[in-house]
Amino acid sequence: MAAEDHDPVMKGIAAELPRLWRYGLLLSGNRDTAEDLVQATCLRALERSHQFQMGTRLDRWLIAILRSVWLNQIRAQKVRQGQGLVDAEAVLVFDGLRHTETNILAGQVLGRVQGLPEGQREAVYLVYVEGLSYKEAADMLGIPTGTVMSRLAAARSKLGGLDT
Amino acid sequence: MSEENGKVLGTTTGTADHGMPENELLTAYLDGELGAEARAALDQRLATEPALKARLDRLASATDGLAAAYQVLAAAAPRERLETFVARATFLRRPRWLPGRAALSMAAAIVVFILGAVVARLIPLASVHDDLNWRQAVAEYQGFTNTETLAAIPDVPQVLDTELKTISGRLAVSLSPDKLTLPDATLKRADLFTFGGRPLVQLAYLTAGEGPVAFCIIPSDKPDATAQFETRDGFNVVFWNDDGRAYMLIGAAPRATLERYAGLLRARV
Repeated sequence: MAAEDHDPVMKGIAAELPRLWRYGLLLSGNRDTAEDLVQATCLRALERSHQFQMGTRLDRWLIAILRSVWLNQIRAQKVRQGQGLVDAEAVLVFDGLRHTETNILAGQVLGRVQGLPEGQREAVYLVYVEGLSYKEAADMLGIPTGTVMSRLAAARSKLGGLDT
Repeated sequence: MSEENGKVLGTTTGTADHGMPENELLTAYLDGELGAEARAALDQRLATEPALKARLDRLASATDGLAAAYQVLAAAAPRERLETFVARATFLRRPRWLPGRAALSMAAAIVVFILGAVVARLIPLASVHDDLNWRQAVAEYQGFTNTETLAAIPDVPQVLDTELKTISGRLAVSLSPDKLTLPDATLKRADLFTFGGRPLVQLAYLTAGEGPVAFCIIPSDKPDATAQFETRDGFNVVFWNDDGRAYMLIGAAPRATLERYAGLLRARV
């Protein structure tokens, strides 16, 4: 009778936490805010677990909730408080992970992505890291497919050093 | 349905030269988002235009290491803290009166039977709307709570804060963790129930050695009254009225402990 035994949200949510957190970090640029975002996302997901459709992807559903929490609650609050964004690269420094070459390279890549404008950063993350198609990313972001493409092209140009 | 559906450039939307900026065309090509015809046209151009091919390679290399970097980032997530948070939030969404995960199917049948008896008693009591009966309902509910019930709840201040904020709003009373701190007791959870159409708040504490203690509040039309003591269903109870609300503390803890807690809470809440 324990609800989590047959509730796909309760059952699957723990495995998604690291990915939700990194998305929260990409959006907010701040690790504490990212944690707040994940917590708020989990509470909302558990409240609305009956709305999750069996056979669809839990990770995408959670990402969409996190994004909505960010846009509707936390982002506005941060803007009001005048808090700036922190480089995602700093997370790796704080965690003392800079000892290996892999982590140094990772930190550089993350720093470059974090330096992109918000719209491009998010499109890059959803398509190139989470593996969404243009159409799926467009639906998630509420923008036309062509806009996803132009944001990705602009991001690739910048990251590849082609920006003019 | 052709395989071109959903592609940025399908067979009917034109060729590589239909006016799309070149970087976008190359990006869609790299991302597998070009239709077959547009793709073939671009392949032909790439074979004969070295500058275009060089640009493509540059754009392709832009995403090198991206997935790996985000894997490293995911590994840096505060996983344990988040899992504890979720475990607690999940726990709070389970039906409260059920025992732990073990032996649940057997226990479920027994619980349904007990619940039937409790509900049968609560319904006539609830309809009377008097302050005595709400204490009786709380006493019966308290019988389902033991030390293990509360010890199993992880302490996550953020969850408690959220619960207290929601509850404060419903009861028009300000309940914050600092006001609710009690010596030798940990506030484990805050619940909002409905009793006789009124919101009933239950704050569950786990004491050090004296078992669970619940602090409960319900709107009341009775005049203010100083703290009184009674025993109910084997529990010690201290209750009082202030500002249109009835309060009670209940538990197996000694009368002196409950009266000390009552004094502290009455001064703060």
